[in-house]
Amino acid sequence: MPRIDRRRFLQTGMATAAALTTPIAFPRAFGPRPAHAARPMDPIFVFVQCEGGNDGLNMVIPTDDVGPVPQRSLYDAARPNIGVPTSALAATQIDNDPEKGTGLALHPSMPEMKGLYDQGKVAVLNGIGYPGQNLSHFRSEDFWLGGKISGPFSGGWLGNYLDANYTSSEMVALDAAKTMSPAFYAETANVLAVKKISQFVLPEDNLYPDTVAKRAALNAAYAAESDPALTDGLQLSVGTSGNVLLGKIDEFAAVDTRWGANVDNVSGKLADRLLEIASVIRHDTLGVRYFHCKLGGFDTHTAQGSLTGRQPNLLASVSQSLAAFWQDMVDLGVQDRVLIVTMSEFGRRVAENGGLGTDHGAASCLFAIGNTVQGGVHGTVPALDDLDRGNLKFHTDFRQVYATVIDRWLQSPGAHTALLPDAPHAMLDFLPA
Amino acid sequence: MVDWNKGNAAHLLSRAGFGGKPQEVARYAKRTQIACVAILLRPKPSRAKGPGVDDKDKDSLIKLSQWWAKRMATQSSRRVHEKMALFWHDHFATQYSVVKNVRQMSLQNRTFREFGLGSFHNLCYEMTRGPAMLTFLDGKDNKASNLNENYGREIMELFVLGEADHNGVGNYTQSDVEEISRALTGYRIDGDLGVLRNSRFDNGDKTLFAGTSYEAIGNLGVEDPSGNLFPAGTNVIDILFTHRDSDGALTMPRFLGRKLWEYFAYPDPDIALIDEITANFIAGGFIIEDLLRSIFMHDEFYSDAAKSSSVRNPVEYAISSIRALEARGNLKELPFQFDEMGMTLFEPPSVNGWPEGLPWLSSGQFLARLGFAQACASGRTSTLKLIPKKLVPKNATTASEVVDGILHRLQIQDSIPSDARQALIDYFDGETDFKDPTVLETKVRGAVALALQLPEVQVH
Repeated sequence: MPRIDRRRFLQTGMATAAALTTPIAFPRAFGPRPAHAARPMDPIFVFVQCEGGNDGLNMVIPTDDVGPVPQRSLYDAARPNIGVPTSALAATQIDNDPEKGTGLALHPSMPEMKGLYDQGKVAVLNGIGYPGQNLSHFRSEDFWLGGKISGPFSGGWLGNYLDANYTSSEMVALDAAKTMSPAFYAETANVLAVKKISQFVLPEDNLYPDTVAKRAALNAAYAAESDPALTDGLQLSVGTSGNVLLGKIDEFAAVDTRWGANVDNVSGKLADRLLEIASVIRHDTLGVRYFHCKLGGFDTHTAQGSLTGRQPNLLASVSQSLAAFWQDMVDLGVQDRVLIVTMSEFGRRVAENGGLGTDHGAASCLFAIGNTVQGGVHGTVPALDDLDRGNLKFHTDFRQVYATVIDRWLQSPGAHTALLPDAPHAMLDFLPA
Repeated sequence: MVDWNKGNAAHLLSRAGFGGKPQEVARYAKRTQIACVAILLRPKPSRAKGPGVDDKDKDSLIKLSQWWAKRMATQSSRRVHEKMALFWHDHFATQYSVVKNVRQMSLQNRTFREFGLGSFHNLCYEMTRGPAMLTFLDGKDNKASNLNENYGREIMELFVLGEADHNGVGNYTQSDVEEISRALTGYRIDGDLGVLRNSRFDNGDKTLFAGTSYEAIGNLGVEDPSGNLFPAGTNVIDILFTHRDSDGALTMPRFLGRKLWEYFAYPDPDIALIDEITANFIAGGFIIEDLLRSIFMHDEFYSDAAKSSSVRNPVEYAISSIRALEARGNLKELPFQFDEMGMTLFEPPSVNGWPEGLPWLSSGQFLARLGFAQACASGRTSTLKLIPKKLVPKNATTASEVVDGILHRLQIQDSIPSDARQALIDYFDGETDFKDPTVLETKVRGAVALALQLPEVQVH
């Protein structure tokens, strides 16, 4: 039952806000501008969360003992039941580990992702984590979504980015979810969080509709409720965001939902969410550029599965949904503008547990997908003979992924240093400089 | 002591229960504060057991949800117990989609109702051996030969201690997670209960909180196969309760005290306030009712800081609206409406419960509230019936009288900005014949919908 109130948020957010004061003006000049302004690229960012702690070691799997560490033998020893046999991995083989030389393959349930990989659209980022890995889902998720690994949560990393680059009357972000992700928690920015765009309508009394008069009254009431001269506190917060939302309803009513022929053909929650996102991307004049959606269920303490089972089903869903979504972006002709990055709050224990599952772990891997990414394997898979309490050791901080996205994709050069204070800022090479 | 008046009585009913109709508020205002709190905490005994539900019958989950929703909407003497059942469902959050057994969810819900105001030790024990939790957090798969850390971690992080104390000092280590998981091995589900099997229990010595003044070493556990509890020195629930913060104070009372204060009053209370409200709870051996009494009797609970400081969750929003407007009906739509607004009973988003505060008003959920407001205002069926005539004050001749009547019922007459009130009055467009059925059906119901859509009703 985490509680986020504006008051707490303002208190804890103070330090960040102060740190942001100087650089805010400068990224705004280069960064995303309102849709009417001409800009070279107008980037779109889709952040996909695999919730529960995705077992990276069964998503990007060692296939041989080539190199300084016998990765495959160690993998087999640690995972006698849930390990994926090499005989099943030929079709999804990707490039070798760039440091160790070990052969690597995607889980066999991900042939679509392998297809995209072969086209050079997928960067596999290995060994991602952070120092002092916290094994709590909720703290680690706070870290990942907030972009900082100590102190109280002070806004989402994307929310803070929006605060620095957009006004409170703009609505440039969509979380395809019932409840907004903490990644978007912001001080002033408005983020739309709806599971289905088609729900974005005002209800009416069918027997005695009084639509025009009622709408006028609601608008007038919310105009007052969003006026700091007339009200304050939590009511003012609710009034202000409600007022912005009421102003956007008619615009969003024009969205042609269920657009995205490819992703519409894939079943499952992730595909459903991506279908909403595709529909909104297609309606470009709305100016929505930042998206989040998530798929839950990755907390596979039991019955994780090897070739089939809980995690394979989830990975299949990720693979099918993202590949179909990508094809919709290609069909729409916006493939140069779209970057997809996946994440999960942690990886899992190297050794399987007694329930044919895995407990909470540390470093893991993620995908960056797009036309601009440098396809291939980035970073070595952490050595299986050098574990930290049974967990993979990270070598690349997740905030470097964010820094690279902010600097090189969102075209706010330098803004990451203020948005991700205390984080290592070295750029990663999955996006070109 | 605070001045006992309608405002404070309404605040108590809204927070400790799910609000009330005007006559109820007036009745509570006439009593003393002590009497009100006593009546709420010590009602007549009840034997509510829930509807007879069959395992794995999806329809029955709906029936169970409808049964509970109606109880929350209509219970008067045991409203605090229903409120606490909802609190515990959020605290010991368990998902039907994982448990996949309606009976187990129903049993857990009954436990929340029966044990919700009693000993926190008993509640933790019932949770630990309850089949819903044994399934949800894999306790039934946690055995000596192969540990599963899922429940061991969450009982410390989410249920009893919290991850760190108020100075940011961690409350446990990964080694503690492993050791407590060993002590929690051995459960199997046998019928309606978790039962310990010796063959699965780790009989070795374990060490919890090594190197602290409250370190515990020995064959730690919860109970033996006959159901005899381990004595305090080796019982892990007791041992968790002995854990201390970095400043020496007991951790669990602060953790639970803070959470209840934030649930009932306001976020981020001072540590001194938490220590004040937990004193009787500690002295009495961790009886939850004592903690609630300290909260409801505290002046700070009735302070300006506590009023309009918290976003009503969807259940609170819907039910307080229904109660205030005296809507009737079988209320079978309620669980579906809760779901639309983001609070599916028996399906919290994770073991961490529902995110509280402004996330309740994420745009989609906010729109769902506007939808609920309209559905409630246009209730004309046996599912939900709202009678507009009842809401018009006797002999009312102006729209402002009708609007003020509605605002009073919702207890927002003092917090609404005058321009927003004026917008509701203008909505009547000069209509003054409040006996005209069309005016009642269109304008009075419309004004109810508008009032329920205001920010003031979303908070309390």
